[in-house]
Amino acid sequence: MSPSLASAIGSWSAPNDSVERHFHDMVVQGKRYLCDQKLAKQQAEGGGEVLAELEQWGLVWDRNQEGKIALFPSSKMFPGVSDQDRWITFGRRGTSAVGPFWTGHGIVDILRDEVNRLHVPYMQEVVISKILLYNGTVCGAVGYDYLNAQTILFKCKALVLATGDASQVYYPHCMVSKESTGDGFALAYDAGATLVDMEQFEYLALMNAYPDSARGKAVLETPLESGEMAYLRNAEGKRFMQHYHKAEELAPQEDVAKAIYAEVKAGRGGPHGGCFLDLRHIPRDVVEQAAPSRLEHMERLGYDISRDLIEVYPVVHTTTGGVRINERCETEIPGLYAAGQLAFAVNDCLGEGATGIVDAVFRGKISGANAAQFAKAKAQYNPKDQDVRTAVGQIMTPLHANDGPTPLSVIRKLQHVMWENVSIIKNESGLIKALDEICAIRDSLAPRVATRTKGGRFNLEMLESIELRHMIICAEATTRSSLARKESRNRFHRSDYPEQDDKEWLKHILVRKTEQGMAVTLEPVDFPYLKPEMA
Amino acid sequence: MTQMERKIKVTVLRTNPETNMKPVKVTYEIPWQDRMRVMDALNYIREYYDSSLAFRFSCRYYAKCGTCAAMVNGKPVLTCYEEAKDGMLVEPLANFPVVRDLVIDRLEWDSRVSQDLKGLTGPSMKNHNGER
Repeated sequence: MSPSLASAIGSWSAPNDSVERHFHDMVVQGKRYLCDQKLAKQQAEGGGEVLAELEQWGLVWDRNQEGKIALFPSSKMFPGVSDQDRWITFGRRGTSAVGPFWTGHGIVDILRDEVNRLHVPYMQEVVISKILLYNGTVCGAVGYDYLNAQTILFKCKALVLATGDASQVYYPHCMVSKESTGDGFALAYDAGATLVDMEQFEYLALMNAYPDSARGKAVLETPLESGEMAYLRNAEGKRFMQHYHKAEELAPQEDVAKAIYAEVKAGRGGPHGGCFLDLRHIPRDVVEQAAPSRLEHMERLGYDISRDLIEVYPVVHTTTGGVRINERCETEIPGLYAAGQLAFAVNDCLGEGATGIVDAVFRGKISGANAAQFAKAKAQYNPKDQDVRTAVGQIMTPLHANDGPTPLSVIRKLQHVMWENVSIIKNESGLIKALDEICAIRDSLAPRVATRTKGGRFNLEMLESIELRHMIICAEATTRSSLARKESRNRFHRSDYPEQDDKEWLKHILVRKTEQGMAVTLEPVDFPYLKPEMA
Repeated sequence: MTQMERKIKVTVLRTNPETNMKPVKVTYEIPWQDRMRVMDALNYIREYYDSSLAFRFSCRYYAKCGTCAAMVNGKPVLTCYEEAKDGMLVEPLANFPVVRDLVIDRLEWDSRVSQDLKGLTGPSMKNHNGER
């Protein structure tokens, strides 16, 4: 919903920053070479322009006392991950003084104003369940409007997927919004597009462990965000990071996440399955100065940071694999475009710091422009009646079914399987177990799903039954890809293959739909610009 | 749910305009959890008592998206942000038509905003490229 930081090159950049360094950091620090270098280069070169453009629409980047765009060293935000500082910035809409971490919100606001101003027609509370093809080219989509309880047939010549993340498959161990159920990944896969490196996720460590509605939401994103370094303690009250990493609390987020996970598994966790964040040694006004909205969130939950420890645990931050696209944001399906978190581009790489927000606006612009151009040049094909009937039937089946499990109960089961076996630390036996359970959910539970609420507007069970189908595809793709990758790289960790293996595994893992089901293939990573030493 | 068996009572104003029935207040008993939010109570009702309870939410405890807004004890609040209290009454936002339960219809509001913005011309700020 609201990424906060933006890292890109422009006339405001620090003197030692450059397109080359930005590109290098994305590919090497951020992705450990597991990315499409052509897309990274395109973003390093073009991202800054889009940030400048956002300012024209009314987004105000934070300024320093000289009136220049204020820059923050990335080491302040993401300690321990980069050799050198890169520079990131915050933005907001208008002059409202709400503190940092409202950049994403500001962008949403100004874009919505523009959509309204230009009278761009849009529909809300509609979920797409199927992309329709005619001879392999996009000709429409079928969706369900759960606000008004009706199925909808869209006819179109081009379609841009921008549905965000898939990490709701880990709820409540995720920080993303409720609707990040991987719809776009599943729709693209179903239409025949390729999913790349679906095993790759990012983790954040310092998230609320309870209550449920705040689970997975950031107490802090990094231990330095509170102005001075916050400490982590286990249930015995002892600091433990020194046993896991020489940088202690300032270790990369995935190492902090692994350490908390390990402490909890060793029986030294708190009552809600987390460890404890300690800010008692930091004066309240220091925290207020550094992170006002974080402090407000803590105090709103009733914490007095001078007295209380806050139970935190690690969660999934974002999906970083995605739908394969090229520099024009085209997938392999003519007329189908993808942008943002679901596209396999640079995404949100914490290691490099703050590329996600730039990726979203940059690819959003490119995909829209190219999709419009494509549509202008093409004729509209009519969707086949049979395809439409099948898609509508699939939407309506849970409504007419009786006695089956509720969609939400099956979603909860799937989420449990994913977090228990396919999360921070994985191994072969856990992954095989998970795959068996996912296939059982796919084949015997999901087809029998029945809504308890029959008909009516805003029947959330109808939405959930569609989201369930999408989440199953994402879960299966992630699990199969995790099984295939026999190494540990970046935030992907296999306890049975703990080392990064550049000799064997500078490879993408591709997932495609075939008549026999989901097929996994390997593809060597292409190095058009930067080559790792071993390759 | 680590607290010992403590329960709270939560009353929700349930509306289903399709059946033309008058809105009814329904009271649910919910296990208390430490630092519980109003949204936790609503989610509990939906997951364990009645899956037809309709309410919106998106970002959960970030208090950013605003979709979970409702009246609690007569005051408009974000349910993700507001502490749950024993005996509380949860109602849809005032002054909006109700779609179902706590879901209000924003259509008219949205089109009014859109209408207000009509006639305002393009990007209003100059691109000062960081040199202002």
